Amino acid sequence: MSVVARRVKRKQNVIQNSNKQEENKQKENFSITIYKELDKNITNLKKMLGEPIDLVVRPFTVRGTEHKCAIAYIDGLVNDDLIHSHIMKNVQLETERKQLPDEKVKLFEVINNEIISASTEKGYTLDDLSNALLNGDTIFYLDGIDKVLLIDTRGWESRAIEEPDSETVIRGPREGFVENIQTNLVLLRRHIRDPNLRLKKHYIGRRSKKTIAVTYVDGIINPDIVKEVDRRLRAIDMDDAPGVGYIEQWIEDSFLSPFPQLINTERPDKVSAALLQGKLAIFLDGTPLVLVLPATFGNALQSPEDYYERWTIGTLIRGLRYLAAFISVFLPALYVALVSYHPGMIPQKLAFSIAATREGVPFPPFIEALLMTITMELLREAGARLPTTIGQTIGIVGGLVIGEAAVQAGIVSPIMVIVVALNAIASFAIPSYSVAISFRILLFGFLIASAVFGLFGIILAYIMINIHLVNLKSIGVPYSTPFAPTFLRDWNDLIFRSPIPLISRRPKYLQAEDEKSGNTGGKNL
Amino acid sequence: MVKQKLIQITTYFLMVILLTGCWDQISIEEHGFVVGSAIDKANDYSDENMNLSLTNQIVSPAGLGTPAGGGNNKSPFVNVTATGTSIFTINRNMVQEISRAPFYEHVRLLIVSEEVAREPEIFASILDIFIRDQEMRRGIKIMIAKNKAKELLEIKPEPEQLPVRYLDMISDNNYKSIDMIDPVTLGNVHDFLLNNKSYVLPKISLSENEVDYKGAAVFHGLNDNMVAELTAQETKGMNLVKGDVNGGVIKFKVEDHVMTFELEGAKSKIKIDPKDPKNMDISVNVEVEGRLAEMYGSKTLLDPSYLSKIEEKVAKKIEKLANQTIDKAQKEMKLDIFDFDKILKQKHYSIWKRIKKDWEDGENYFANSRIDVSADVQIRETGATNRAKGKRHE
Repeated sequence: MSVVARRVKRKQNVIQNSNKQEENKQKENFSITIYKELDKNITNLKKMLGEPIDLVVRPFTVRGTEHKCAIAYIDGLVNDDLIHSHIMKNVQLETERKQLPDEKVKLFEVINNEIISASTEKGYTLDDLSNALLNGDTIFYLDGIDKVLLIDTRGWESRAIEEPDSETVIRGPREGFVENIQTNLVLLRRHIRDPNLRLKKHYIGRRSKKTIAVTYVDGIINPDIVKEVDRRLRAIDMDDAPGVGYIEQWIEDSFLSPFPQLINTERPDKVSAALLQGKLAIFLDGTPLVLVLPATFGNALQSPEDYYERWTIGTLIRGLRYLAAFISVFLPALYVALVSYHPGMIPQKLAFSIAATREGVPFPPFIEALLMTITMELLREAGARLPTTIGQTIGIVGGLVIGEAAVQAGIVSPIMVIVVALNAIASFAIPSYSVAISFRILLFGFLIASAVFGLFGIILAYIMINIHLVNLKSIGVPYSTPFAPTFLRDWNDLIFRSPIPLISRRPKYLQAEDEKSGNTGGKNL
Repeated sequence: MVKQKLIQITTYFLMVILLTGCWDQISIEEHGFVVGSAIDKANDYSDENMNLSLTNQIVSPAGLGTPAGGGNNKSPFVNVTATGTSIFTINRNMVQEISRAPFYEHVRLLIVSEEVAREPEIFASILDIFIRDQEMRRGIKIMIAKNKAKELLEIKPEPEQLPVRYLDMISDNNYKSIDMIDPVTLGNVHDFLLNNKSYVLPKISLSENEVDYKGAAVFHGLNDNMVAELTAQETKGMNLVKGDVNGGVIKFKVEDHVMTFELEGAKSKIKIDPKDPKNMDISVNVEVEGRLAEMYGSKTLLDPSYLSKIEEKVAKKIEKLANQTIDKAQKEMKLDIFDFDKILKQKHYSIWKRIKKDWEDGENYFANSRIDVSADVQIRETGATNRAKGKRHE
């Protein structure tokens, strides 16, 4: 069955599912319309939600009149202060000072327009109502009216803004995104105070109905990227998106590729810099991670730190990072290839000293390398899932004790330990965790290739990876650009990071509408 | 469809990997690393049965020790000797004698004994496998041993652990001496073998456990066999004429005081007038720079006339050394060891084409040419002070 056919079938399932939901509603005996009678409405609401314990319904009368009304909200999703000061206080105190009309429809309008001081929307169906309720809105019922007011009282506990652990920098801002999308968008706004900054809202998740915000700067970004992202987001259909990774896996170009085709970041400064280059960011409510796209191979090895330091340092650090990437992918494979196939290519003294240390080691180099790199992966995984304090112990026990003991026991050669340790350190020097992990996958591929064919195998695997890389795209932008297709101008910010005043144009590969950067290099002085 | 294709691709992929296996894989510690080879005549060598013996110095890395741990009691090397009529068969015989198959990619040195080198054709033939085999490197240094080549691999050198490394490093010290010629590599020799032109290889000898790396062996270009040798003094002369000097020492006397002149470099300008091939004029001008390393006597060096006198003496000495070698080359060997042919080829190609065959052979125009040597000496430094001793009252 082809992928397309499978997708179609999945869609059909979705439709069937929603039909089932309709049936459920009817079975449970509640109506999807809003009645004029307050009591009926309230029982209807309770029935629909299955009388949950956190549903608060508070009936009362508008002061000075006989009109019955009620508010309903979900405890914990709302800000109690807002309900008190904007609804209850106003409806009960402000009404005294005003001449209230007797007619119910007019009274409803007056309450909407003049009394309640929070932002409101009108709701007409039970669907509107439940969506709003579950988002943290408060519902205002007035007896005798078949509409409700949905009052924005959202407010829940959230984490304070902290420095992101996974992407620390030395000279940059110390703030990171949090789980609350509102806070995150505020953080972004504070970086880009541009009227052209666009925040587009989508909802995702059939059941979770999470907010996602697509953000970009109008006038910079190529509209095709916006259109394409919009199309892909619309195609998403799932119950929930607990993390940004779900969205990434729905919209990425190739799910078979080992390379991450979108950037994950927790840093507002990184997102704003990307938006100003002509990229697009997707925020998801409930996660501190933001997707930035399109991404290229060069982005995988960049860190905001490169720009915060002066250009010489930035360039050297980048060079170091490319070296780290090379080591983290190739070193064990090169070692295995040289030691088991091409000892003539190792400098003489080194060859003898490797041979001396390998004397008595029971495994061939490939098995030895495999053992050690898998141990390394185990250590990394064990350390990542443990609390930091225990994580360090794991590092010491694993790295030092096992390494030392394995050498003493003669199971691995000391040089292998050096190779694997160097390889691990290099892979930690890659700024993004997801990129570092993908490189580890490649490492095993290269290791097998080198064990079977030696250097020849490494070259073959390298060619295969390259063919894949030049075919790969991220939201339609070639992943390997600006290496290939080559945009020499963009090389001023690739491995070499030119001084900031000289990076006066946005990357050509993004085909931004406004190619000139906000940076004139001082020419208009 | 997709599934089938996937299965197909996976199958082919696994076939490629699993059927080839780790073909050719030999772990580094299982190689017998040969660092140097020596070739001698076997004991039962005769003209019909040209048995040669090959001695390989095979390193046992564990004996070398690690920088931290130091060596253990194992010897760092073993010398394995086998005999046979061709190097390749000798190699095959050798496999039966040692647990680790000889591995030639780290060979540094090839020593050929003089008696093998003197046999016509044999020298070129044994080098064939060293030049063509894929395990061999063109950087292997070649030396000619005065006696048995094998003995040189058995010396107990200090401070090196391997005899081969010791010999290898000695040959690299030529920048401090003009008694020896630049090390010659297999690649160079390949070049020589392709041209029918005489060439010179370094000589090495062993006397009472002392290694003597001096002098040179001269090979005839046609049969590629050794025909003559140069002593240390004659080598000096050759190096000076060729301008192939990076350093070295010349001793001479001024007013009965022994003096030592340390060369810091020499350039030679060679001009050839080939109008009459039968009677060519070759003028060699050697420009020498250096410093006065040691002087006996107590005259001040600040005296320019004294200094120029010294310079003159050095020049005289250099001319003497050069002429001595030229005499031997023209009269005894009748071989152009100075590579004058290269200059002829580069500067006077039309004439060279005509006389090429008669340069060293036939008419031997080289032997009949007039070679005139002159030297310019310049003393660059006289040392930190003008004299080290007080002036004696004379």
